[in-house]
Amino acid sequence: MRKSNIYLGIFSLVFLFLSGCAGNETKNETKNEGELDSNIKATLTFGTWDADSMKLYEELDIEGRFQELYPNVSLEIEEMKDDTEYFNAMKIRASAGELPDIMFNETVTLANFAEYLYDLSDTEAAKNNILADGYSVDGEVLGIPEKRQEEYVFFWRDQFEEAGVDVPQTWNEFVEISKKLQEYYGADNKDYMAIALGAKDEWPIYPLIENMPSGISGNGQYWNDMAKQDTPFEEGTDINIAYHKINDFFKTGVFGKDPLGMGYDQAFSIFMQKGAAMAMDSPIGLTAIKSEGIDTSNLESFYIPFRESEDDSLYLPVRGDFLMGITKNTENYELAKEFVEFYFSDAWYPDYISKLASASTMETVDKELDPVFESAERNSSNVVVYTYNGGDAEFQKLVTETRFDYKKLGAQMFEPDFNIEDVFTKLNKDWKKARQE
Amino acid sequence: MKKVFMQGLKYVISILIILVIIGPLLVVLFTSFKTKEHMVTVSPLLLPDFSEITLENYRDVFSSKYLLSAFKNTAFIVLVSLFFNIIFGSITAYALERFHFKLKRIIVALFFLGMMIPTFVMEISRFKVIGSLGLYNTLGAPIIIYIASDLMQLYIYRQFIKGIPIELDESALLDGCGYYRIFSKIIFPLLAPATATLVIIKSVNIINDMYIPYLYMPSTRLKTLSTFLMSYASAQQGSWQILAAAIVVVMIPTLSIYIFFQKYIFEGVSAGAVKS
Amino acid sequence: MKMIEKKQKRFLVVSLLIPVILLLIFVVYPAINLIQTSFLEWDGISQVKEYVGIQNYINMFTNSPNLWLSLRNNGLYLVFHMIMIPIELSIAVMLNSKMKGRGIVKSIIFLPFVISGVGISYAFAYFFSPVNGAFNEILNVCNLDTFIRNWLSDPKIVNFTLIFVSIWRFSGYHVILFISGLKSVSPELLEAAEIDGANSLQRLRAIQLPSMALVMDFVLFDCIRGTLQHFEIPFVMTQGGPGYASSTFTLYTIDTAFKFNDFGMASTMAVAIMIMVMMIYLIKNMIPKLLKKR
Repeated sequence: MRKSNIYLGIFSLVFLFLSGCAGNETKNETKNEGELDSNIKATLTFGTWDADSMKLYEELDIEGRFQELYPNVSLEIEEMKDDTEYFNAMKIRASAGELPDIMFNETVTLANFAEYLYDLSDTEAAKNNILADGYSVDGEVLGIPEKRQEEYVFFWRDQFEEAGVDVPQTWNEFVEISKKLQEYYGADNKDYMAIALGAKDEWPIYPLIENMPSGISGNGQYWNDMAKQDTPFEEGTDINIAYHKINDFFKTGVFGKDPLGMGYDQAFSIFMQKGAAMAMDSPIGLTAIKSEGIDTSNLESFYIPFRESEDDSLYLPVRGDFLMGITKNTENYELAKEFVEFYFSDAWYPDYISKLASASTMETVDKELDPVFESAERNSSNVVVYTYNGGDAEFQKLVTETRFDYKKLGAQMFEPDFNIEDVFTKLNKDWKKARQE
Repeated sequence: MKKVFMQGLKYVISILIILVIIGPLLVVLFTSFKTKEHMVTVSPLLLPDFSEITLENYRDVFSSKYLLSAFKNTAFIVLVSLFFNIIFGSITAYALERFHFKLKRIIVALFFLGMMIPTFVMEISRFKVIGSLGLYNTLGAPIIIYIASDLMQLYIYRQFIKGIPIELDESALLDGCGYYRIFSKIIFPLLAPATATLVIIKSVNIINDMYIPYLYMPSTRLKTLSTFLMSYASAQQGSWQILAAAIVVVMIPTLSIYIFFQKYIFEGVSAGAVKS
Repeated sequence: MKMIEKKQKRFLVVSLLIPVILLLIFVVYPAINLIQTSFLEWDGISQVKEYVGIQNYINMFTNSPNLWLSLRNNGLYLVFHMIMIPIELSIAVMLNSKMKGRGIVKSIIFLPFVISGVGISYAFAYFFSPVNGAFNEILNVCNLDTFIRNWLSDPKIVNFTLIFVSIWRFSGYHVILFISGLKSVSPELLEAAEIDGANSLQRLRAIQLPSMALVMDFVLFDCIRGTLQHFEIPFVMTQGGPGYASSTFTLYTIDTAFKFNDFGMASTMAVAIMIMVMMIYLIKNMIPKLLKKR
């Protein structure tokens, strides 16, 4: 009997050991420098939080296509629920040296992960990318954006016509038509929302709360400039003006009877069923609408008018999204680099981007605009595009110190007893203190 | 008269309890049989007309290609961790309960500490350990964590062993039995009710845990039922009827374990904690 | 005798070795690491870690209002779960008495504990949804529509909605624990008391409750630990919102670590909650002893 217990102990140790080996297997064997053997045997890992991309990776067989170049390389693609979850996991993995070979970043997160990413400025992919340079950190291209993204207000043309409202050209008009729509349809349908938002999730507020401060004067470096000031929330600053306007807007009731009670998914699906006249989202929203098989002949879009009068320019923030980089945890740097080149080459990128709603970021690849997006160019006048920057390391540090969480702030603006002046005062004070340290 | 009234009151309370518990579950079940249109036209509290009931949502869930592997992964994790939990738990509890030795207090304190530590933030430091052992992104990661850190089995087994008269050990010892034999032939069989309890509670906990598999096994091949449900939910973009079907499907394993072992639960979910 | 001692030693080593090693590697070492990190300023990503002494602890007490708001919410959960204990106990007594169909009630009452927590949280998020939500529909049907509220978004209400879900999920488990506790009381004792003319309340107080000390202990421990580390239900249902209205200590700790990249501070909070659980548990254990001394 004693023996069996010892065996048990041995068994469990062996088990430990075996699972340990299994873990190493998923990594790779060869560490090749310089010349890359096309017969190299390895696994490349990367993750995404875009469900549509995930579907396309399977549908268009990204692994098979890459295997035409490197037949013994397999790809392992991890799917995450959303960007929050994705970056939470990546932070833990970074400190343990377990980042995937290839990593996607957002413009906001790039600064945080800078020390884990290789410079890609000498790749063809970076050279042919329109936006990559705009997001370089200290002259190094750490991520190559695969999607060009701007935010739209999607709307049902027939609802606008029935209620007798036009596409708004200024912020005030935007507020006014929302009120009109809410009055017109809300009378019969108490669940109606002029704008479907889903503020419970907080992030859906970003087209306003994140974009408006820089959108008033079209300054893509707005966050970085804020990091250079002691009291950037003072009266008269763009962010102060913008957040007052948003705060007032959120109090008008045009987001339905309980905007904080609903997540984005629910709100957006109500918009799809015409329970709302408008919804704000990036092109990803249109992909969702189309994948539900909804008739889009009545669907149009316009750009959010941050301006005060029609004579001003309508500044449209454009951002690169899903910035593909190579992490320093990879044991197959050369191969990963080959993969990045492949990803943005004709062997993959054109087919892939044409199936996504987002616009191409590559000089070499043109994409036909969907009629829904074309309508935005028609509906909005005097549009000036600028590249939006999510904030450099300096800004991120101040955000951490002062707990300045603009998405949460946006959600709080829906609360009746929220006092925006108090918040500005406190932020000014904390900001100054944090800068001194 | 009073007796009749009391009996009546008992039934009223029972029915209330049942309604509160079953109600929300029925809503989920009803929803899972609805089409998108029903979601707007039919009250959430009712089933659609019988002829209009759809199984489309379930077809959708079952056609998801990760569901099967999620079942398999979960089953594997549960079986292996339960096996070691039972072996290690019972023998550790026996050793700590029956013997006195120098390090005993320290070891007991350490195990107690293990129950106090908040799991979520500690994963940051635990992650490094898992990573350096090469367990990251393998089924080994959650298994070893469940074996090493969730220690309620000790609590249950110790209380139970307390209830077994020590004379049993002593007489066996006098008969010339070794400790291993005493443990495996006498003590362990007597722990059967506690073991059954453990099987239920632990497998339910493990199947329902989402945080550890989510953190340590991002690979799509390594989804468990809980992480499957999470990523499935986000991919549905608000189609609550499909999500409801997924919730029902994910409930099936724990529900069957429950029905199968139910008898033992009532004999002693805490039988161990009770018999002193 | 020496032989036996030697045998005993060998048995102890063989049986305790692996569990203790596992514990050291996967629980004790990370815990020590956590305490170390609580003295650092570290963003969780960078390789630069700066030793800041007890600065994090000072900041936690002086400059984290939302943390204390979150802790207050944990307190709410604890209070309500405590209030539920006598109710759970009465239900257990009821189900332990002679009654037709009690088997079914018992089976159903344990059901919520068995079902996936993630699933339940999603289900209730829709149950309380403002549009097409089942709960508002129930109120409508009962002509109580004036009571309709923003269940998940009114800061004054949201916690109670979540507490309801938490109670829904865990109360049945406690009831079953209490029932098995009641069962363990020796029937002879009860019979004797009955013959002596004790009514059921007296029997409960004099005989059943004292012999249930261990179950009570376990349930209390479960409540304290569970409510102080409460996380899953608000995480899926509200993400702590609106604002921090339904945040809990663990949720706020996770935000601190991941949203604000302040891992040093998050570790400090984790250490704090560990100490809190231990303290409450120790105080709880001391109360009966103090009472006895009197």
